[in-house]
Formats: sequence, C-alpha cells, structure tokens
Amino acid sequence: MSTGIGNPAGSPDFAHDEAHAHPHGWRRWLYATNHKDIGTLYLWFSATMLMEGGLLAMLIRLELFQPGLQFFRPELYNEFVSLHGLVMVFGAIMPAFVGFANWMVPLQVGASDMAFARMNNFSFWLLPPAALLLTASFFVPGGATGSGWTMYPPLSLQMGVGMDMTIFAVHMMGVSSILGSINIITTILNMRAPGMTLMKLPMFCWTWLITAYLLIAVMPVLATAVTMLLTDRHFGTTFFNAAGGGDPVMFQHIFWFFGHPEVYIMILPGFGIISQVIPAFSRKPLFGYASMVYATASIAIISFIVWAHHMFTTGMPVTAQLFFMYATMLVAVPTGVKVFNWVATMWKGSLSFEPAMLFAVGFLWVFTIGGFSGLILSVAPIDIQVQDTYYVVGHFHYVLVAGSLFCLFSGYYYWVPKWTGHMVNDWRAKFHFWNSLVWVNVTFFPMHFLGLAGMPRRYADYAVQFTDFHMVTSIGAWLFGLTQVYWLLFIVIPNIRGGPPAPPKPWDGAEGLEWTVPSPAPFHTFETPPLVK
Amino acid sequence: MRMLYECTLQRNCSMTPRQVARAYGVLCTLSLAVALAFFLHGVWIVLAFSLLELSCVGLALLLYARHALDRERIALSSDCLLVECVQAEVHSQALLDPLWTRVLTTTDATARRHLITLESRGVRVEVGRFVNEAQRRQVARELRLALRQVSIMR
Repeated sequence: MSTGIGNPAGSPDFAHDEAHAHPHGWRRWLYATNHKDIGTLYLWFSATMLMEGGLLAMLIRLELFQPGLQFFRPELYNEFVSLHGLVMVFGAIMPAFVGFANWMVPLQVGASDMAFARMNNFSFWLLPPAALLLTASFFVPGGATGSGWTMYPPLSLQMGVGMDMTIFAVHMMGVSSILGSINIITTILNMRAPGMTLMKLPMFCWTWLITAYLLIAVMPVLATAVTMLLTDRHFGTTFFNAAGGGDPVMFQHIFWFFGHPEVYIMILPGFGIISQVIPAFSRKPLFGYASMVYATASIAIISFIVWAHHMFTTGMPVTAQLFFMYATMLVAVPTGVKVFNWVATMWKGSLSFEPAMLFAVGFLWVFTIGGFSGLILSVAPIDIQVQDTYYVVGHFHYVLVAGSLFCLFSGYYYWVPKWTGHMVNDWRAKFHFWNSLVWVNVTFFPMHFLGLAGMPRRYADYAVQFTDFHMVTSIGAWLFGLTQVYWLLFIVIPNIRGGPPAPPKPWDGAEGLEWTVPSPAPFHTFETPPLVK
Repeated sequence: MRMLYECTLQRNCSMTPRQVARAYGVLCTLSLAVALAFFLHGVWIVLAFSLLELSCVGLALLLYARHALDRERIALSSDCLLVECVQAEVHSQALLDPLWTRVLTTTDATARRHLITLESRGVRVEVGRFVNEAQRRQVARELRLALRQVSIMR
C-alpha cells in the first residue's frame, strides 16, 4: 500500500476532518493558519477597503457635480484622488484576488492548506497596519499624499509626512504580496493532488500561478521606486531631483515598469474566474484550454515591454514610440484569443444566466469596451492628444471596475455557496447585477466624451461646457456606489447569516475538486489528497 | 526473502526537488533579467531588492523541497520487520523481531497526533507522521494482521 495517494475524489472522510479542534473567538482570526479563515480575512479586508475607496470616489464625484469649488480645497481633492487610487489598487482589488486564491487554490488542487500557513497569516496581517497608515495620513500635518497613486516626483518629494506614511504602507503591502505569491507558487507547484498534472490545473490556478510569477518579478521594482523617493526626501540623494542632477522622468520609467504588469496582476486572476464560470453555466468544457494558458503567459510576458506607453508625452525618440505602440497593440492578440475562447465556449452551450454568469457575460461586454479604448490609446499620436484627460480615466475604469470588479463579483456568486453554505437570493443578486451594469456604463462611458473634449484629469474644477457629462457621471457613480452598499448589506451579510442550504455542487455544469467537498467547506479538507483521473 | 507486508507512507508532493529547482530557475531568470536591465541603467537598488526577494522564495522552496521526499517504509518478512525513515534526506532504520512486536496506537484523545508506535524488546519506533489519522488506523490494522500471520507461520 502506498498512502501517498489516498481516497478517490468524492469519498473523502470529512466527518473526521471536522472533528479537529480549532481556536475560537478572536484567536481564530488573529492566529489564523487555516487557508479558509485567512481567505475570509482577506475578503473582508478588501470589502472594507472597497467601501473606503468607494466613499472617496463619491466625494470626488460630489465635488465634480458642478463646475466651481463646492466642498473641498483643491489640495484635499487631490488627496481624495490619490488615496482613492492607492486604496482601490493595493487595498481592494489585489487583496480580494489573494482572498479568492486562499479560499480556492487549495480546494481546487486538492491540498489540505497553503504550503506555508504561518507565513500566510503574516502576509495578511501586514495589510491592516498598511491600510491604517494610508487612512491616517489624512489626519497628519500636510494631509495625505496628493501626487496620485503613481506618486510622481517632483510633487511627491514636496509632500508632508503623509507621503512617508504612503511609502511605508506601499512597502508593507508589497511585502504582503510577495509572501502571498511565494505561498501560491509553492502550493500550486508542490501540493497538487496525484494525477493533477499542470495541464489539468483549473484555469483560476493557472492564472494565479502566472500572476504570482509576475508579482515576484515586478515587486522589487516598486520597492525600488518608493525607496528612492524616500532617500530623495530624507537622505540627501537626488535621484529624481533635476537640481541635483537627477531625473524625474526616470521615476516614471521605474514606476511604470512595475505599474503596467500591475494592471495585469489585477486582471489575470479575474480571467481565471471567468474561465471557470463560463464553462460551468454553458455546460461545456472550456474551449481551447491550452491556448488559454499560453495566452495568459503571453499577456504576462508582453506586459514587461509596454511600460512607456504611459509616457508618450514625456519625450522619447520616434523609434521608441513606435516600439511601445506596436508592443502595446500586441497585447490585443492573446487577449483576443481569450475573448474568442470564452465566446466559443458559450457557442451552442446550454446556457443559463445565474448571477455568476450574468456578471461573466457583463464582464465580457464591458471589458471589451475597456480593451478597445486601450487599443486606441496605444496609438501614440492619439495618446498624445488625450494624455491625462478623462478618456484615460474612462479607459482604466472600464478595465478595473467593469473588468476586475465584475470578475470578483462573478467569482463571489459562483463560489459563495461553498464559503457560507447558503445560496444567494437570486432576485437580489440580479438586482445587484443589472444596477451595476447600467450605472458602471452611465458613470464611465461619458468620461470618454469628456476626455475627447479636453477635460483634464485630477482637476477639482472645470470649464462650464463639461457640466452635463460630469453631472451624468456623478449621478451614475453615486448609484453605482449605492448598488455596492446594497450588495454588502442585503446580499453578503444575509447570505452569511442564513438562506437556503447549498448542496455540495450547486451548479450542475461546474467541475473541479472544490465541488466534491460539502457546502460550506469543512474547516479541514483534503487531508488525504484526492485522486484526479 | 518473501515480503509478507510492505507499505510506504509519504506526503503528497506533486513535484520532485529537481522540478522545483527548474521552476525556481525560470522565476530567477525572469526577475534577474529585469533587475540586471535596471542595474545596467544605473538603478542598482532593483537588483538588491530582487536578490533579497529571490532569496526568500528560494529559502521557502528549499524548506519545502527538503521534506518533499520524506517517507517511511515498513517491510515485514517472516524473520524481520524493517522500518525505514527518510526525513530531510536523513535516513534511519530499525530492525524489529516480528514475533515480539506490538502495534500500539494511543488512546489519548487530547494528543495532537496519534502516531503508531511499534515496540519490540524495548525498542520503540514511531511511524505514520506523513499520513492522516484514517490512514494510520488502516496501516495499524493491516500490520497487526500481518504480524499475526507471521506468528501462525512460525
């Protein structure tokens, strides 16, 4: 007998697993080493940050409802814009995907937990102090950073102590991401159930494995950028200070070398979620699995050679402009492969439109809009015209809100029965979807017109001819924000408290090891690795 | 010598240390290529951070890989019970007399792990550290049965 391989999938001894003692009360969360508990912590953290970042967005839209300065000083407005970006990128989107990974990667690969459970705990608990630092920076002399999430010098060199708090927070969040990536890579590579070869990995795991590689490759670059800022501010270096022989544009090169792969870090795991949801509700296997894997890897690789498309107006040789323009356009090829494969998966499938599928299909539509506007922005002469206008704001919100956030909602509705053991109220979830879909477009589509008309970003005031589109955008934003509050209060919390019990596999087309365990998933799962045929 | 009972108890590990080293090599190549490009442009801090980060990743993978091939092997023939253990590449083995071997499983409900204890003429060996409770119970049951057959045969 070789007990390296154990029970076949479908007949595990979970009653025994559940009998294990585990801590209760606050100790359960503070000392958490169980991947499900840590996943839950990540998801709650990111939901809190989503609300904080969302509140800042609402305040921004309040100020922009009419021309003129209504409520906030321009400096405070800049702080809102900067913290909105930082909180959403580092506090909401990234931790949400890590939360999904913590919950689902061990369940999908048939592992009992993440490879380094204590390190997992540490990587989560780095986040709340970092978030507190970011939020507390509003209340220190000089206020929070007003230099945008990109922290461009020379402005960031002139900020008060709030900038130092931001640098420290970004460092902590970066360390957390690196530790999370180490855990994900080790878990996926080493702890797959017997029989689960790499080309049998669920797409969510594949996309996370590639994302973790990306994170490991670019996080030192972010750490460098903010450390150089710190030494310029306090230790007499002049890396980015032209007066001392430095070059502020160099910061942009360093930052965007991290920043562009970061965009894919925030969307690739979402692609993985969509690649799980669409086959489940089309009742067909994913079309072109291998090409999906290669397309994901291609996107990750191309992301390293496109950073300067964020900097077309900073001055660069025409050959460089052409290189970065064509390299950026190249991203459309593997992304197109993915969109084609998702559509082909649905083609002649037995489709049903549960909330997870609605968000997936909604994502396909709105993300494609974001992708196309990105393609337009990749053309250097056009980008130079609309650089730093609302066109760019509209584009990246289509990618990050209509893209990443919709993926997260799709994943939430798909896997929440496994997390809480309760089915979501279908009507409420559909209400959430339709409102999100309508208001996300009402909010961000007019931004393209504003940008084309010349409305610059990061301005607290504007010329009167932009008023109508700004009003429409503000109304859409408030209603989109309210919709997300509705989701938290009327869907998430009631679903935790109760609801119709979920069977182990609530979606008949769903496939994967996670559906072989009961709902909610027991505290300990797959102590004996299942066999994958 | 005919084996009456044989089992290998090992943790699940889907990659050999060599395969892990290859995966780590890909990661290092990617990260160091980025760091070297910055280094050549004068931004040496990226290389410093990359080396620090890759050391952490390497250490984590090494810790995991050192125990990837850990296993215990129990082999019973008519005249000896061989228990071999490999932990972090350290081999140990014990030869027990099957006629005098007792298979003990703890009844202490508060114990965190209930390993199987094999005891023979004052020598005690614990096995089952790489498998779960259900599998340990199964191994203990099968081993008792096999030992009983040895005593009947003699």
